Amino acid sequence: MSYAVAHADEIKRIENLIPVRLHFGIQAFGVNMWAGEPGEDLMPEHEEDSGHEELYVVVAGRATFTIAGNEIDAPHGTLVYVSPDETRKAVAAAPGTRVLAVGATRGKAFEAGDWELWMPARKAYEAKDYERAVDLARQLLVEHPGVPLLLYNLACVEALGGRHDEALEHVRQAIEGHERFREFARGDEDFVSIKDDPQFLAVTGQSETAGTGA
Amino acid sequence: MSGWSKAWLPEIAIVRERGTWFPIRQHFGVHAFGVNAWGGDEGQKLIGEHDELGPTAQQHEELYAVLSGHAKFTVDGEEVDAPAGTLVFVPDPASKRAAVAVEDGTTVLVAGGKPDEPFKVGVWEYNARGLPFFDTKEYDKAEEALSAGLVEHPDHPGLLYNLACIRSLTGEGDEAIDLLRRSVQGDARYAEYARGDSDFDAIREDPRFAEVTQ
Repeated sequence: MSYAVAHADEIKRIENLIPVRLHFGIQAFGVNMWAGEPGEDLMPEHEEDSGHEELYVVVAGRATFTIAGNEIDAPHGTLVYVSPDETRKAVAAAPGTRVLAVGATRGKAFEAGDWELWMPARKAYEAKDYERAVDLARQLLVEHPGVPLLLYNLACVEALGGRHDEALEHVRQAIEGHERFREFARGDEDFVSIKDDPQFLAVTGQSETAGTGA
Repeated sequence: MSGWSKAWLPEIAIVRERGTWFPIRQHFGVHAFGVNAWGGDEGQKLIGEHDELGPTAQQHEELYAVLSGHAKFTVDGEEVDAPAGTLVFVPDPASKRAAVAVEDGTTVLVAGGKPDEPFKVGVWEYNARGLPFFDTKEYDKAEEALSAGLVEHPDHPGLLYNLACIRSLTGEGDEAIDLLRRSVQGDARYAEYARGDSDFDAIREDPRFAEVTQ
């Protein structure tokens, strides 16, 4: 393929995310666009656990960023750089606000996390509506079979919703799909209800150290 | 770099006769992906025709985003109309791409990186910082900018070549010959470039020049 072209408004949104990277199949860096109307959250408050440094560009409208507790006015044409350990969020402050976000980790090849695919279920998870989150996650896996991140997050909401056997199976599948989920799972509070289960300990590589108090 | 910072795009513009460069990556010290923007008025070149395989290129896949105005891209001979909001993805480093402004006040942002490899600041960027000082004969500043590139790209033939030019222009013939020899050893194309480059007029009669550039 020599090139691909799309207007940002032609790309099918996932909630308020314009999934640029997924749309084009970009592999070298993360890039997306967030869209919002006044008062709407553009991106969820977060730090970059992935280690990404990120550049935000207000390409239309106006946004208000909050970074490490500092409120930052960002009209059209503003660039905001944020290092991975800073907590950031942004809210649209004008109609038709669009913010482009580019990110990757210094010194490492970019690895796509597919987190964009989880967006339709994110609100249910954050609202602790785990039954709904499970239903949505299952639908997402029908659309995107075998995606390790989706399997992992499904396991999370199953564990949180008391579906322990299903959670154990899906975290196992997620780890089989990508090794990084093994370490994620070890420290993930979403799995507190199953963290002592022998199957969980085995699949997360902890069973040889579990119970060896001597 | 930790923390965060912001800038308004026009604040970081470097206005040149042939258009405006917004050195975003350099301004913020981003080191995980390449990101710059180019601006111009109707008829001005925004992106000079190039592929990502040249001696100073990095085999990047690139995403162009038209932030304002209206651009016309040409990719491998095909014209692409690109009003504000258009995204153009060029995944193949071998593809020749270029862009011109179709209306005044056009700005195009470009993000780039190489799949499966950590990002390195491109040699072109060190050249872009250093070469304008040749016009003003501020050779010390040119050398400082170009030498910084050797830290990330040790013995890069292009950087060595430009440093050789400086040495020749400042009357340091022995060092000029040595740098040029190292450049040609790294990439034989620089021999031909040197033969036609007036920067080497001061050392052209030196027998070693003929030996290095034959």
